[in-house]
Amino acid sequence: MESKRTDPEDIDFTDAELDAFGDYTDALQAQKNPDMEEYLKRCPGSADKMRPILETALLLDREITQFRRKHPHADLDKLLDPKQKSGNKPK
Amino acid sequence: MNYAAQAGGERKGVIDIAALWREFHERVYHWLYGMVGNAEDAKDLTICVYDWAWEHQNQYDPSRSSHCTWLYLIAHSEAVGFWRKRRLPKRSLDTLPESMEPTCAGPEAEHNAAAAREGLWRAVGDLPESERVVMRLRFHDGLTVARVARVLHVCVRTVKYREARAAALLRVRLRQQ
Repeated sequence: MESKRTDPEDIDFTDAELDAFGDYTDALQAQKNPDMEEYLKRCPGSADKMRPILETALLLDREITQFRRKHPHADLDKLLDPKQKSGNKPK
Repeated sequence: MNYAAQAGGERKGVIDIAALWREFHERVYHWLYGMVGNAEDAKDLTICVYDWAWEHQNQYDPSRSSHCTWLYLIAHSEAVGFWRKRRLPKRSLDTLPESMEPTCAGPEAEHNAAAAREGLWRAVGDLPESERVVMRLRFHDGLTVARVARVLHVCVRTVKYREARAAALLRVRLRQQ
């Protein structure tokens, strides 16, 4: 039986927040090692809300970068698709 | 020259060390010279080999090896000891720091990191498909927001929203684990 989750299904973002987040992840993709605080300054009223979200993006970026380095030929779709879970988790 | 007959070395525990010296010391020296690379140390080690042979002559078993082989074995051991001393400089205990902190993560930290990593992948796999696709295109394939919007035939704001929402969902689920 699945446990009930309190997902923020109705989470809302302002345009400034989305722009800051999108630009931050773009910088992550470009391996520019962006300063998170710089992007949080662009939405000062919601820095507390956005900080953990940017941190999660940073965590995911690092993890996927590491995964790609270790398993250059691995199929990430199989790994991420819950229907195809076969215990093939990255070690 | 039949050294064994001359030295009477067939009998265990009885060795004519002088005869051994005359017969083999040059060979032992040259072999040690090849091992340590300088004459001075090779000479010292040759002496050590014969010292050791003299001290432990009761350990020699003629049924197991010739005198020459035995000496080479001793010489090998001396050469290994020589290099071991060279590579491990002696340090006084007083020079050691008070605490020797480990320089790498211990097994517990590695286990926690692996568990956290697995939790992250599980959380990504549990994302709604629309968010998971965006995360894959952005983080794995390295596409820009505009490019993802073109691939998925949605507007740029939708891509940004799905990406930010995916990160927010991941955050919540990671905290729940």
